[in-house]
Amino acid sequence: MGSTAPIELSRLLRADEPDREAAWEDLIGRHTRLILAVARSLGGDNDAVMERYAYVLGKLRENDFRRLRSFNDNAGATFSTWLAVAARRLCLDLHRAHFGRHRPAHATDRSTVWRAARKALSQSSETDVDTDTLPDIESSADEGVIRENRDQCLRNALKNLTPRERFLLTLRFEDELPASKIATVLGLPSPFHVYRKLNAVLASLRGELESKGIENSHG
Amino acid sequence: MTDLEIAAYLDRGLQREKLDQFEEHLSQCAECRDNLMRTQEVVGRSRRSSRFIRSGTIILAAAAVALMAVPSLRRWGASEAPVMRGDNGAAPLVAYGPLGEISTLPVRFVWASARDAMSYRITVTRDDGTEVWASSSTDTTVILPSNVSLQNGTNYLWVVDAVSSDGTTRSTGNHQFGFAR
Repeated sequence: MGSTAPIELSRLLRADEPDREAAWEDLIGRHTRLILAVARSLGGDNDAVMERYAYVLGKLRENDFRRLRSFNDNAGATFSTWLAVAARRLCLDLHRAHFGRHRPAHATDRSTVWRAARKALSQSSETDVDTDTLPDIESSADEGVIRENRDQCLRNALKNLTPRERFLLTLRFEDELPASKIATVLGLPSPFHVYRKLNAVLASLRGELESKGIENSHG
Repeated sequence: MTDLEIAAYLDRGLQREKLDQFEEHLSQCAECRDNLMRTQEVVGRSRRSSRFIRSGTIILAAAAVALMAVPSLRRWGASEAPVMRGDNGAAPLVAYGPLGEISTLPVRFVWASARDAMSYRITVTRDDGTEVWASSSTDTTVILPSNVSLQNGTNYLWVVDAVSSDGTTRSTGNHQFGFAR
């Protein structure tokens, strides 16, 4: 992969003391619009935006441009994308310093994919497997055991999926994103590619469950 | 996940093994998913905006070439109302901040860039008009030097003048800020 470091960054990091200020101003001049866009994306009034903007600039300058020096142009990222990510992280740091950290429920939750898959199977119009409405062929005392067995089968089936397939299920059935948005996140050419992949993943899960004896209750 | 890895994911430059690890984490972490998607939106908007500006520049350049090349078009263009330049006709320069009361130092002045500006002159005064500090810059942001002390509870005014190559200027007008510890 070729170098993606912009010339203004190389110039700044190589500059001797007398030229450093001009090189810094050049770099910021070229990327001000992006940093401001990141600062604005967290909301708030103009003062809040400008405070974030100034904070980001201050942090980028800190310790002889330590953060800017950490950019590696062989890591597969362009400088502008990296700068947007770094600026957003700094803005969030500032926000947390003011207001504390808000962790959404299930911020890191290993059952997310399993929950999404359960929902997927119960929603899918083509799916005959409904893990919540299987027939009560056993006594109620055994229901817990059956349910546990069923959930374990689903967990095992999910292990056979690729990380990308599990991520796809989460985006669609946990976050309930539209296919167009999922295509953007995953870098797929169109929403049709998303539907095609989803159908394949759900078919694979259904096949796995049916092979373990978890079958259609209605047909 | 590091900033570089997130950026590489957004640029589709992550290696397979890292990609699998990253998507595995994303499928379990709502906070990282949210952060990734919001960053992707900003980067996407920024790129669309850059493309729009580049396209606009090309169209304007093509129009300028056409006006120079075709005399009849030039005459048609000349029949339009003349464009006024200078202090009276130009739109004011936009000042971003500081505006109002601030409580942290250093003070960073930020304003929008002006087309054709060769340099910017910033002046900070007390509200009685006494000049506190003045400087010139080619950038659209400067930091008030640490040797310029601001008095707690005092109101200050700042103004930026953009100076073009033909000598015309555009001003932000006076903006007030105050410093309170």
